[in-house]
Amino acid sequence: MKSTKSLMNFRTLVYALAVATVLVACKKEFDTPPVRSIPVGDQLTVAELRALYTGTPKRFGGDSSVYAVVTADEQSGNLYKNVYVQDHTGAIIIRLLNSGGLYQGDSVRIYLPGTVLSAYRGMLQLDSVDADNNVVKQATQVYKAPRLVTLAQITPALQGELVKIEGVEFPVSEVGMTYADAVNQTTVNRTLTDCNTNVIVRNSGYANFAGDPLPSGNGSFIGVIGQFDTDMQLFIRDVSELQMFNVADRCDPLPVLCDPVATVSQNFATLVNNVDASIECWNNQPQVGTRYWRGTSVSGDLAAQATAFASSNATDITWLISPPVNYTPGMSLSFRSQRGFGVSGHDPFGLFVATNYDLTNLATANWTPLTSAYATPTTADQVWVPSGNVNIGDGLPAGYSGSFVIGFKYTGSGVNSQTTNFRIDDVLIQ
Amino acid sequence: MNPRTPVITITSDDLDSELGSQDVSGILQSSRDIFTSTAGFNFGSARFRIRGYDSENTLVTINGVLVNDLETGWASWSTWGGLNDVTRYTQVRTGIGATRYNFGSIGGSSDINIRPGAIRKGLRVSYASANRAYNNRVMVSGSTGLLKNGWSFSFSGSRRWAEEGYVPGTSFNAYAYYLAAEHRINRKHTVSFAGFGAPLVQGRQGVAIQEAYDLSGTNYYNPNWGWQDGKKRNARMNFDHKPLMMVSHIYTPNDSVNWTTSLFYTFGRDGSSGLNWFDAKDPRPDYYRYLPSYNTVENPTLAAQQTSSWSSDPNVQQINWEQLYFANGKNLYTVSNADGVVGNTVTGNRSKYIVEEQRADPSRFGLNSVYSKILKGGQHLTVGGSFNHQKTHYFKVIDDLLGGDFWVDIDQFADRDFNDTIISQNDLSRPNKIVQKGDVFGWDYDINTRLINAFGQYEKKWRNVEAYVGAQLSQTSFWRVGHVRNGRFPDTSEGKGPTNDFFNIGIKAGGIYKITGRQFISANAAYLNRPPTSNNAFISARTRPNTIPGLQSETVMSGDIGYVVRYAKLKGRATFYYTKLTNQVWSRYYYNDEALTIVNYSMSGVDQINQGVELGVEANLTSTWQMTAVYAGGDYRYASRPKATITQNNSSEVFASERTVYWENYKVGGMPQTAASLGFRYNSPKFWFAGVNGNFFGNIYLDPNPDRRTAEAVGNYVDSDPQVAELLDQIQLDDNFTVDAFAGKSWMLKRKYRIAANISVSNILDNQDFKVGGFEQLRYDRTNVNKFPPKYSYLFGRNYFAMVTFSF
Repeated sequence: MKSTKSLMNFRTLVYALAVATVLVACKKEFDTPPVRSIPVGDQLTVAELRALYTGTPKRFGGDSSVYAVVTADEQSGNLYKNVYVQDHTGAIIIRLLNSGGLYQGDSVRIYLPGTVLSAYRGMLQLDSVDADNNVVKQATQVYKAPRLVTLAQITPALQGELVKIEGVEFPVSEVGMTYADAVNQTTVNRTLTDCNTNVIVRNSGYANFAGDPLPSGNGSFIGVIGQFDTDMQLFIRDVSELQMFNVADRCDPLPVLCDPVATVSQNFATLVNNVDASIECWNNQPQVGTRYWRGTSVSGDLAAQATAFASSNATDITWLISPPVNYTPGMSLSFRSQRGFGVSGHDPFGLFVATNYDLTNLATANWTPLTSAYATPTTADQVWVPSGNVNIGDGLPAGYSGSFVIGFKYTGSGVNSQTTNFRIDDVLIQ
Repeated sequence: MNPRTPVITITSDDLDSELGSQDVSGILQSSRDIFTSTAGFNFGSARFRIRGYDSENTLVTINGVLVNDLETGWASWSTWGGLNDVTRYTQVRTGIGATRYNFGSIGGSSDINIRPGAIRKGLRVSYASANRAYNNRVMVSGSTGLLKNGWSFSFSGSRRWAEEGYVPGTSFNAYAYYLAAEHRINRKHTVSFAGFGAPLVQGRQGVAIQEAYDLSGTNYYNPNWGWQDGKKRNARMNFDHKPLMMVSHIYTPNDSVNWTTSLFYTFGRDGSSGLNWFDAKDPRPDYYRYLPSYNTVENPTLAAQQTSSWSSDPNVQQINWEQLYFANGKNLYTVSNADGVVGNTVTGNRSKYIVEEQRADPSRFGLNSVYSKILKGGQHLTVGGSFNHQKTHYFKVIDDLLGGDFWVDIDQFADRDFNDTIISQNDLSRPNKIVQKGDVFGWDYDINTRLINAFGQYEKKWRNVEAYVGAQLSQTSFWRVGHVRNGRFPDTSEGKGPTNDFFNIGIKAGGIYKITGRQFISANAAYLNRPPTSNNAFISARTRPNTIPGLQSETVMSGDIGYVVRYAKLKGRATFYYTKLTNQVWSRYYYNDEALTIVNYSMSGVDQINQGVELGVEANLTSTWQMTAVYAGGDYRYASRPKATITQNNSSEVFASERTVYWENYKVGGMPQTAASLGFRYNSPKFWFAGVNGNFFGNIYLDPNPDRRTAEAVGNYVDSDPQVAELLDQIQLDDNFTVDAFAGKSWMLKRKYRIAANISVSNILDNQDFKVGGFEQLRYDRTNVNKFPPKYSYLFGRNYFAMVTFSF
């Protein structure tokens, strides 16, 4: 009797095991649903589309489509929620509802219902385009060659077109600056010139080349044409398409550094109060923002001052750079410095030496910090602090021979109230 | 919702079974304790945690072997979900105390006995109906008892399922199996085998901001699902199956010695799916820009339109799956030099949207040996040691291309930030890797954790005093092994990273003084240090082996003192406890709006104090009426100014280091710090019972976002600016009240078969406005805190669990 029972239990166990083996969790697979298609309707060329604009925004209904090729996309970050398309009759900017999904070379059909043809500050645009619901890709890598034009030929008639311009350069005043303000992610206008005509090159602070320095030579430029009121603009789609490296061919040659001198003695007496400093062979150059060192009168004595006070930039960095000096071992630097309207905790000053500065490479020169006494946040305002003798060799490679420049750097922020006035005077390099 | 939060379920049935053989000190801490059982049974759904402890402070053992995950410290109760017939014999001990399996921890321990003897002889079949996570449960369990030949067998199997659970779009499909055999070779030797597993496929609930709940008209809005082919499809699924098997040898040379040695191995799949997208708009329906509040000021017309479509159009309110298929099915794209082969050009529909599965597949083995001996004169000695090695394989696989032809394995955030096509590659051995369904992509690495420990415990009983002391030594090492070389960290991402070693100690002592046979005073204290868990230690294990700066062991000090009465008609306990945790580490990652990328936020030096009182009283008013009263008054707060390091997931760029977080005296969030319950129960002599409980929950806070409590966040605002208070003030959730009831009856048929019916109904008043949890989003805008408001989750409304059991 007992053994039957245990046998029964054992049998139950075996059944249960069998059941357990069958009970394997299976995952539910979802089927691909039937996908709706976008109708074609009337076919328009880009020129026919542009011609439909009569001065008021036009919202499309009914079935109609435009076939075109994407000539500039968002990949470099210079364009955001914008792409440019073009066919054999013309070009237009497409304003997307959401970023992403369309790439250069995409041959697309844009289904117009839901989109709006309108003008923004003189630029005709196809607005409210949804990359999923309004666009059908026909093919990829159908690249349009840019149209070769001169700067003078860039007129409203070419709105949206992909163009190439040869024999152009960035002006001397901009060489050494970056394409845009990558630090503050602010859009900046630069100028493309052939020494007769200037056209704005508008660069986004979000572009992946925003922090790169502008090329210093003459050469070819590729971009798409935009317009803002009466200003014609160019937008870079890929910075590697700018082949502007030939410095010798510049129509406006770059200034060259003065020849190195043996010593420097500068008391800034030639500066004008509240006017940006301009001294022969010295360089006064902003790195970020728009502030320059200027003349300031301290109890009647003129000194050089930098400040971010009342600046609307998130960051202001500006340099005053000495003429090049031939290095001889044992050379020293002295100057005096002072603060005005000092902001607690704000130390704006930096002292540097560089051996490869050439006017165009402010951001990338081999600046090496030098240690000196100067007016720090713990120094009272309006008190001159002598630097003492600073050994310049400390910032140079051992056994260096050649020339160098001394850089006086100011860093502040008007937006964040880091606005101490900082002054220097009586610079002596010997 | 954290799926790994332990849920302590204790039925009154279980409590009865534990009486008997235990000594007094055991009873004082065990699940027989009215405070502990009420906290587990009535407070659990409101996320109450005993003494405010995380799961890592409570050790869970199976047959004496530690099963807390070595990387997180958490015990994953879902691993054995659906095996209630087996795990009902769990021995729960809260707080510091004498344990004979391991050194224990400050939160106590739970030991699950899964040896065949654990299940009552006979067969037990049950069916349960519920409207919680699942709707139906069937379970069959049985045990042979000790057969004449010295063998015993037991098994259990169950299925739990719901097409749709309490929350819309959630689903549940789980099986569970358990099998054990034991052979008593002779009086001295017994060997046993036990194995179990619980394959689970679950559609998860998401949390949302209040605006989404208000627009959809329910506090159970779930952003995770959308309609597809007339069915609700959930994007965030869990796929879990981690079988565990164990062999044990029990050596009992005489009545006073027990030496148990176990070897166990566990492995399996721990996956959770979700949407991913590239160069496309955010597919999540509750993305902040799709909600009206984002446009109220700048574009009120659009906001009004969004309000209307969001509240009424299921394709706006939920995931629009068909739109994702539509977008994928026409995104013609050409990949040049695909798979790293020059000239290999692949053209097809590149998926903009995919469902991917993130995997954390563990494999672990352990050896555990505990020797226990009863000595003369009321003394007892326990010594033991263990070795544990866990390797967790982290990777992603494509679950569904949603109608597209392929996905390209590059990091979308790096792709945007750098003008360099190499940096964004996830696998430099195959740049521009084309991946299809089932392919591994994104990241692929192991985290190895090794724990070796030894402990000893000595107990002694005198006439009026019982006391114990214990100590532990342990060594922990963890390291990362990368299986792919990525473009962001080409030098360090592949291969074995540095090993992080920690040597730790722990000591504990405590005792009970018997004032009379009915009144006791107890006191316990412990000091231990322990390694940071490896899931907190790495800055970004997905990309590199670096650990956060200032990594060191954390220190735990804890003590409690209690007064206990045990009369026939009145049982009660009052305990005061104090715990200080120092030098903890804290790591999270999130999408940062300013940096437009994923950032990792890590803090070290996080101190925390948990103190409070626990009161529990059980009174037999008459022979049939019983009253219970429980109160938990806690005060859990941060007690230091941690240092934060903020890094970018994609690059070695450090956004901030040594940033001071002003966290002192902020409350620890995510649980009620105060809870109380009053209950009445009627036990009929005619084999039925019924009861009702009223529960109160208060002092519930949201855990503070550390970065909002820094000088950098409030910088430039003057103190009187209301924005300062908005940034700094901690959010306290409303206090709430719930009522639960339960009843049961059993019948005996032919004196052999037992039928029992039980039902419990929770939240009878259907309180649907009880925020039980939530979090401040780490993403924040210091000039507009309400741009990214907190996300909340709500207690289920009225819900029930009813069960019929047949056993013989």
